[in-house]
Amino acid sequence: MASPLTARTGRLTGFILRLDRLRISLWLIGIVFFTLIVPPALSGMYGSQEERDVMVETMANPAMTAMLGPGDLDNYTVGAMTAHQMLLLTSLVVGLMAILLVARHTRADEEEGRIEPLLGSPVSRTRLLGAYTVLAMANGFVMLSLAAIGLWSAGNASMENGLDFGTIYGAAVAYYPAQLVLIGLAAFFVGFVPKLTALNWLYLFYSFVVLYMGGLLQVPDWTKRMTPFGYVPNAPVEEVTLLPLLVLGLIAAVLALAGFAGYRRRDIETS
Amino acid sequence: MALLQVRELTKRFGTFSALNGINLEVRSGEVFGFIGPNGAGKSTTIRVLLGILRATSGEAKLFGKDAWQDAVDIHKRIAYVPGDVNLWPNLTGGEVIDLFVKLRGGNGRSKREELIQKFDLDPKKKCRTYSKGNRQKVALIAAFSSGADLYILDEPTSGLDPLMENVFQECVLDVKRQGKSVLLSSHILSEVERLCDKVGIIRQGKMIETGTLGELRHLTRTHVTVETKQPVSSLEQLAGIHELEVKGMELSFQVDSEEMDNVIRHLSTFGIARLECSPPTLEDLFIRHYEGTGGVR
Repeated sequence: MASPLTARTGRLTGFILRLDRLRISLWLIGIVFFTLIVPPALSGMYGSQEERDVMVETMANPAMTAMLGPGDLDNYTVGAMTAHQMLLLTSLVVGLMAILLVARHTRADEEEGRIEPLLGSPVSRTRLLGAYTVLAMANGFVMLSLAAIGLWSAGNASMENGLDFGTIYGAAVAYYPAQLVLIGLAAFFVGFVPKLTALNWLYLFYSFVVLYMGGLLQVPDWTKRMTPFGYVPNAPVEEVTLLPLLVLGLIAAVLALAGFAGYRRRDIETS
Repeated sequence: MALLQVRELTKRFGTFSALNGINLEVRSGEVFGFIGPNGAGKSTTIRVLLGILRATSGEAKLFGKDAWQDAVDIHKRIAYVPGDVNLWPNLTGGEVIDLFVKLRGGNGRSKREELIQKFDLDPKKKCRTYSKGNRQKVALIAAFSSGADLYILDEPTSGLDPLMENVFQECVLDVKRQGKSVLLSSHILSEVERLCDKVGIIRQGKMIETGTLGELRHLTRTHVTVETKQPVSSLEQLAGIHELEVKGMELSFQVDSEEMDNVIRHLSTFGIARLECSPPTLEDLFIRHYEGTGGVR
C-alpha cells in the first residue's frame, strides 16, 4: 500500500505530466521520427561500400573532419556515423527539455504566482523541485533509449550489417551523465540564482554551437571541454571510458544538491 | 488555545521593511479579520505564515509548530486561498480543484460537487478562460472541500460579485459552526464586521489595533443622511456629531458609533421622513485616526 507521502509525490508527478502531456509526446514522436528517417536516408545516399568509401574519402578531407570530428575511418559505417550524430542531437534536445522541466516550469510558476497554492498545500519544496528533476531524469533516459532503439532498427532495416544493439545502446547511455549535468545545472540556478535561470538557455546554445559547428568554426578544443558533452566519447567510433562519465555524474549530483539546498532556504518570489 | 501565534515578526526585503514587529493570535474556533489598506503587509504576513517567505526575525507558529521549519506538517491542517489566484491555463477548473484536494490527502467529492453548484462554477472550462472571480471560486471550492482546521484566506472576495460574496460568507459561517478557525484578510471593513469575532488592523507593517469589534467600535463612525418633517434644532450640541451639513430639511453628518443611540432619539422627535446610513469605511478610519502618524495614535 502506498503511504500518503509517496501518493502525494505520485500525484505531483502525474500533475506535471498532465501539464506537459502535449509537449512531451511531441518531443517523443519527433525523436523517434528522426532516428527512423535519417539512417535510411543516409544509407540511400551511401548504400554500397564503394559509395561509403567515397564518404570516407570525403571524411578524410580536413573540412569534414573539422565538422564531424575525427573518427575511426576504417570502420566508418553509416551506422557509426549516424549514431554519433543522432545521439548528440538527441542529447541536446533532451537538454532543452530538462531546462524546460526543471528551470522554466518552476520559475514560470513562481513568477506567475501559481506556486503559492502548491507550496501552501502539504508539498515541500524539495518534493516539488524533486518531482520535476526526477521527471527530467526519466525523460532523458527514455529519450536516449528510444533514440538507440530507433537507430538500431533503422540500421538493421537499411543495411546488410547494422550495428549490434549493445553497441548502440552503450553509445546512447554514454550521453546520460552529460544530460544529468544539464539537469543539475538547471536545479542549481532555480535554487541559487533564480533571476539568472535564463542563462541555462545560453549555455545550451553555447554547447550546440561549439559541438555542432565548432569544427567548422575552428574553435579551440577547450571550448568543447566547457560543455559536458565535450567529455562524452564519440561511441561507437571511440572507446567508452568510464572515468569521465563518473566525473560528470558527480558534478551533476553536486550541482543538484546545491540547487535543492538553495531552494529550501530562499524566499519564494511573490508578485 | 492559540492555533496561530505571531510574535514580533519582522520581514525585510533588502532595505525595505515590510513587517515591523507583527503580533497576532488566532484562537481555536475564532474568525479573525485581518484588515489594512493595500500594501500594509497583510499578504506578506500570510506568506510568512505559510512558509513561502522566511521571517527576518520573530516567531510565527501554527498549531504550536514553526511556520518555516514544519511547513509541510502545518499545511496538512490548513487551507489557503491567495489574494490573486493564478492557475495553469491548460488545466480545467475541475482538474485544479481535484489536484489541491488530493494533495491535501482528502477526498471531499460530495462537498466539492455541492460547492461547485453553490458557487455556480463551470469546472469543465480551461483555466485560461476564467475571469479573476472564477479563478477565485476555484481556489475557494478547493479550500472549503478540504476539511482543514484553519482557513487562511487572503482577500478572497475581491473579484466576486455580491451574490457570490454571500455564498462565500455562508461557507465561512459553516466552517465556524464546525469549530474551525479562519484568518480572513480584507481591506473592506464591513465584510470583516459580518463574519469576524476579532479584528486586527495592520498599517505600514505594524499592528495598530487588535480587539473584538465591540472594542473597536470607538474607532468607527457612521455616515448619516436624514430628511426630517420639521427643522432639526441643536443637533450640533450633541456629543459625537461631526461634519454637519444642512440643506433645508436634509442633514448629512457623521456620528461616532457609540453616540448613535442618542442622536437617533433626538432626530426622531422631529419626525424622520428618510434615513440613510452608510457603514464606516476603513479609509475613513485610517484618515481620522492614523493620518501621518506612522501608525501611532
